[in-house]
Parts: sequence; structure tokens; C-alpha cells
Amino acid sequence: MRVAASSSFQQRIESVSTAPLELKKTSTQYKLLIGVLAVIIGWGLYAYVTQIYFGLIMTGMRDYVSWGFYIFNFVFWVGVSLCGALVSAVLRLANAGWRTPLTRIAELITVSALILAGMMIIFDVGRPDRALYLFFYGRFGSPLIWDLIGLMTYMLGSFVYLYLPAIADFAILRDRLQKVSNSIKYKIYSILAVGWTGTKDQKSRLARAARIMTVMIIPIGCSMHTVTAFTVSMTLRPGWDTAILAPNFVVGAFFSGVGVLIFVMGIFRKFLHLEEWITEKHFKYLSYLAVTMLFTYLYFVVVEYITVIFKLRLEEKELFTNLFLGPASPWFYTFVVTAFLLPAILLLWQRQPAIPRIMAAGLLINVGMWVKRYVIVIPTLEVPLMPTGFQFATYTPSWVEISIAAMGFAIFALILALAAKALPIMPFAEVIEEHEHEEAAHHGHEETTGRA
Amino acid sequence: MNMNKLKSIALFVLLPLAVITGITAAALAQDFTAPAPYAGAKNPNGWTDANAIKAGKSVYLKSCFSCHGANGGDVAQADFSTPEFAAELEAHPDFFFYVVSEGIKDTEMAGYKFTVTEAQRWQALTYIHSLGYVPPKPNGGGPVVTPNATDNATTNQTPNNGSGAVVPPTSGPVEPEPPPPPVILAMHIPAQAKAGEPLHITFNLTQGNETIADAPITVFFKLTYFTAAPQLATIGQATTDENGTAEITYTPKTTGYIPVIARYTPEGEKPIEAASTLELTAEVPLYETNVGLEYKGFPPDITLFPSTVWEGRAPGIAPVNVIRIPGGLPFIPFAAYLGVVCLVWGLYVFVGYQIFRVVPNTKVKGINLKLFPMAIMAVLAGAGLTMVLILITGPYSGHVILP
Repeated sequence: MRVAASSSFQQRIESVSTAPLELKKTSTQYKLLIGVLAVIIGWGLYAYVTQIYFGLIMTGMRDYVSWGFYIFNFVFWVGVSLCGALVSAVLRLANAGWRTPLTRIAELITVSALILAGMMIIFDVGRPDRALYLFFYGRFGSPLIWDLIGLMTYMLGSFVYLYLPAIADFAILRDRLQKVSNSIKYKIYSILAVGWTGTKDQKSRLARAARIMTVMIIPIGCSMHTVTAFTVSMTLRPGWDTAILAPNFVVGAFFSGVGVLIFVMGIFRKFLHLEEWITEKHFKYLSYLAVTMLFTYLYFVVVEYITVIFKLRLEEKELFTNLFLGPASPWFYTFVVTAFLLPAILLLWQRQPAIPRIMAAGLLINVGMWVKRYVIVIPTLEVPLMPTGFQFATYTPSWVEISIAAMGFAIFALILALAAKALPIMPFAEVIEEHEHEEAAHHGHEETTGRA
Repeated sequence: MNMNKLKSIALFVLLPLAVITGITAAALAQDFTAPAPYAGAKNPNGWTDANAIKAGKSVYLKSCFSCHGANGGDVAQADFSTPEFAAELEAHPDFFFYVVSEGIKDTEMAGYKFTVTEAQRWQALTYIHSLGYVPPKPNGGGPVVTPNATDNATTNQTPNNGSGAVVPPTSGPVEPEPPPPPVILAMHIPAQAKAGEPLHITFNLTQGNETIADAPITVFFKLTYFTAAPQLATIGQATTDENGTAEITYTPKTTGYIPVIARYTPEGEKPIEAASTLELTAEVPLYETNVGLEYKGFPPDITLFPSTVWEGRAPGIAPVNVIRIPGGLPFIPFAAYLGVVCLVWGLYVFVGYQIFRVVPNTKVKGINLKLFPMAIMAVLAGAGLTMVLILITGPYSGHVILP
């Protein structure tokens, strides 16, 4: 729904912010997208039923390589989820005013990625009916329990953090529906808006809650990635047995978080017509952040490899021979090219048009980081535990694993697509407030100059 | 796909498949034809050549014993201890030489052409032949032992004549004097037993009509750990009394088909062994190790559990959940972690409370707006409590269910 540029700010924000109220005006494109996603998810569910029925023998996982596609997809989704903590919290604390239109999208990505991460764990266990045993019989000594607690804490915190600033936006939608106050939609938005009218007391309470969450969500997000790294780095396996793995995961997660935000933001901007609020400036600022994270991550990866390669214990030698020259080398070099080389060129070589260039970099970063999770998880498990006489184990994902991983991406896209229809996709209340502030400051400025 | 491709696929897939199937079938169907380099090979030694048998025994002990056992009867598909096997070996030496050299594909049987010389392979085959060979005229060679049918007793004998080989001096007047009768170790062991219950094994040690007293007998279970070669685990030792009998009592703690080996080593002689297989079954798990480590030091481990922990439980039922707080050094990270979890979830609930207080007191069109924030607070408080419970509880399985 395009509104003429000549219309006032009020009209333009009105038309975008109340988009969730017009579910009937669904385009064919959107229906087609939902249809394609539904087909992928249906096929993935069929694959999962096959896996439940026949057991994990349907996957490529065996005794040596017991963590396959699911776990490295889990690590990938956990990485993507740090996007929310980064953009909403770090930039909010840094008082970067330009981040306001991006916060809702970033938080949505976080929540959906964490749902996916939890699902990947369920897919990975052969007896999902016993998943609750983790709650009943988990012990403090197990890194997997830290991961469970980290995931639960980060997921529920992210839900709260997504919801808090949205209360005022739900109130806008509720007020828009006053005339049809008997509809279900009105009731749902009324409940979600919790009687928000924007009084001073309400504002101070919500601001206090938001401050607490903003400060907390950063260490919680970092701890989530740290304990995810701990599940592998607490072992003595080659490639995992390194102290730098946890910070490496955090930096890598920031890196892929920025990448996915750039990409998803571009998609939303195009299809929801948010060009006025999400501008080239946002892409440029995020691309600076992406370049910073790229080189930080490159530094961490080089440090991680060089300290191990210099000493080169026997099993590490087998790992790195496999990684640099052996069967795992295509994955490794794909990672180097798609995560470092191409994005660096795309981000640093500032050619116009900027937005497609930066979006391509964001997508490539995530392809590269997805491949990197494979490089972290699989080749290490392929290294034999006994130094002599044993052959390398090999891992090839089966069609079941590939289908379920594809279903993961489809669910991610579906959650975002449905959210675009049902939720205010930008913090409109905040945007309006900031606009009013700007206007007031502008007028104030004119008045003072006039008086002078 | 064109025809050439199909043809080459057929060639590369079907041909090796056919060859493999052929070899396997040949081995399984006891079709004793040896392929090209081995066809028609003959044993360079005589089948009863004492020197070859002696040399072959040392080869056998090095390369074959670990699987085939002392009397050659441990592998059912190739039981060397039967006269039938000796007859087959004599009839088709080339085939068995081929098997020893190349191994049998997809079985445990390995090929030895690179590790054992051709002469040694023939010596080993000569020794294997001697294990089941029954001479045509059994005049004082070795008594045929009839195992006790009810007790599943199995015996094995080695002549005590210094040569260390079962060589009945049948052909020619080489040895005019008959050797002393062999020492026979008989083991009486039930075919089946229950793990966790005492198992009695008795032994008779005889030489001819005389019994041997004060002889030490060691008894082993032959156990397979993972992929390693079977290991002999001592389960008991006994000394024979004046009747030549000995007895051990042992409570097995494992299950499955376990080869049992009894060994008596006379002074300066080769060991004499008896072997049998025991089927061990169990209805309840025998014991469980405690989950996790116990930490010594200050503060002490805290474990609070209901008395039901001691009542045991049916198989397949998970251990009882108890309150467990680690002591010693791990208490510090534990306390820090628990504190952080409490703080974070406490703040979450506080944030939920702020949302709850946003709700004005006026009711809007019959909808109770306070319910949703209350649900948020309940979910946050419940999840936080779950996290704390995960940390401070754990399964307790440190009790032994052994009868």
C-alpha cells in the first residue's frame, strides 16, 4: 500500500502502522510464499515422522559422528539469535537514535531463531518423548544443562523484550479498532495492550522494565553463546579443546546476527514499504558494524587456528589435514570465501546502489557462518579417537536431515511472514514520539533564530 | 544415461559383487575349491610330523589362539577339535591354506599371507590337523574323553611327554616305549547360571588312573571389551585336594555367553586347559554407578532424599530425584551460578510485575485486562523455579541392588 509522498507524516505512519488490521488485503505474492513454505514444512514433517518411526538410523549420524546436521543448525540458529541483543540492547545503551525502526525486526529474528534452536535439539534426540527427563534428571555438572538453562532464560527474556516496547503499538491498533469494538481482533489487541493509554505512571513503569531488560539481555545473550560453545569445548576433542572457542562463538554470533538483520530488514523494507523509515543510512551503519565484526571474527579465527597449528598434536594434525586438504576442505574454503572474502569486498568497495550490495553481503555472511558451524562440529567428530589403525569416520547427511534443516529455514521465514501480518513490524509509537521530538526541536530552533 | 555408461556401471558394480558373493558362498557352502595361486597346494610336512606340529603350535598360539581357543573349538564355524575337520583338512589342504592366507571376507577371519611365512602357515595347519585327528590305531596315545552330558563338562588334554604335542606314535617303530598317560583336567560347570547368584565350578585333575593333588588351578572368564581382542579375566583360583578335585565359588556380575577357561600349569610344562561356555542371564540390573562425582572437602556434599531411595526399583524405572548440592571446590561455581539464575529470573518476574501495574483499574468491555500480565508473571516465575530446581536436584542411583 503505497501512499503519495506528498501526504503528511501522520497519514503515512498511519497507513503503515495499521497494516496488521487489513488481513483481507493479502496479495497473491504473499499467498504464494505461504504456500511454498507450507510445502517445504509439510515435506520436513514427513521426514520427521519417518525419523520417529524408523529411528535415528534414518540420519547420517553413527557412533563416531553422533552430532550432525541438527546440532550445527542449532549452533547456527543460536548465532542468528544474538542479533536482537546486539541491535536492540547494545545500540539502545549506546543511545544510537537511528536504531529505533530496526529494533522490532531484530527482536523478532531473535525470538524465531531461538524457537528454531530449541526445535533442532528436539529433532536431534532419538526419543523426543524423553525430552522432559532433561528437566527431571539433569545435573549441575553437565554443560548440556547449562545450555538448557541458557536457552530457556534467553528465549523467555527475548519474548518479554519483544513484547515490552510493543505494548504502545498494540494500543495504537486497539484505538484504531474502537468502532468495531465487538470484533475478536479488538479483544486480542486490547488484551495485548494491557490498558495502555500512555499516562505518566504507565510510561515510567514500562521505561523501568525496558531499562532492566536492556541491561540484562546482553549478558544473557552472550552467556547463551558461551554455554553453547561449552557443550563442545568442555571435551578433549581436537579443534574443540581451546579456551578461545566461547568468545569465538559470541563474536561469530554477533557477525551472523548483523548479517541476518541486514538481509531480513531489506526484505521487510521492500515488501512492507518501509522505505521512509528504513533508509540507506541504516544499511550503511549496519554495514560498518558488519565490517567491524568481520575483522574481529577473522582475528579470532586466525588466533584459534594458529595457536593449535603451531603445536600440532597428533589428533590436531589429523583434523587440520582433513580441514585444509582432505574431504572437509570444500566446506572450509567455502567458509573462508563466503564469510570473509566476498563480504569484505562487498562491504568495503562502496559502489552504488548500496542496499542490494549490502544485502548480498549480509546473505553471504550467513551462508558462510552456516558452513562454519559444519566446520566446527563435523570434522572434529570424524577424527578417530585412537591414533593408529582406525580409519576416519565419514558423515553424509541423509535426505531426512536435509529435509528437516530446510524445514527449519521455512519455519523461520513463516514466523517472520506471519509476524509481518499480525504484529506492528516497527515500534511505531516510539517512531512517532521521536518524530514529535524532532519537530519540536526544529520549531524551537527556528523560533530562537527568529528572535535573534 | 547412455548404454556405455550403463555397461561400465554394470561392470564395476556387478562384477565385484559377483566375485564377493562367489567367494563368500564358496566359504559358506564348504565348497573346497581354492582359487588360482593356491589351487593344488600340498602340505610340505607330513600331517603327523612331530617337529612341524611343535613349530605349528607356537604359530597357532601367536596368531590363532585368541579367537579359536586352546582346543580349536571356540569358533563354531571352524571347530578344529572334531575328527571331521581334520579329515576335511587332509582332503583339501589347498583350500584351507588359501583361507589362512587370504582370510574370509566379511568375517573375523583375517588373512595371514603378509604376517606369517608360507612355511609357518603350513606348520600351523599341521598343528590344527593334530587337534582333531584321531589316529587309526589308538593304542595308548590319548584316551578319548567322553564329556559328562548333564554337567556340560569339557576336557582337553596335552600329553605330558615333553614334546608338548598330541602325537600318538602310530606309524613305525619310532618310539618303542609308550609315553606316560596325559594329564586330564575336567571342569564340571552348568550350562546356564544366573548372574548375581553364586556359581560353583568343580575340577578333576587326573593322570591315567591316578589323581594329582596340591595342583593350582586358575579359572578365567574370556571377556570381550569393545573392539579389543578377548581378554582373560581371573575369576578364581583353587588347589586340588588328595582326590584331585577342586572347587571354586564365584558370583558373576555380567551376562551373555561367556567362555570359561580353567588352566593348570605343571612345573616346567605347557599349561593344560579345559574350556566351556556359560550362559549367564539376569532379571534385574546388577548394580548402577552413582551419577556424577562426589566431592570431598568443605563444605560437604548435601544430599537430601526420601527413604524410598533405599527400596530399590523395578528395571527400566529411572532413579529417584533428590536434592543434591555439590560440596568442596565445585560449590563455589555452583553457588555463583545458582545466584545468577535466581537474580535473572527474579528480575524477569519484577519486569512482569511492572507490566501488571500498567493495567488501569477500569474494566474495558468485560475483558479482565489483568489476566494476561498475571499469566506472564506466572510463566516467568514457574520457569525460573524450574531452572532453580534443575540446578539443585539430581538423580540418586548410588545404591546397589545386588542380592
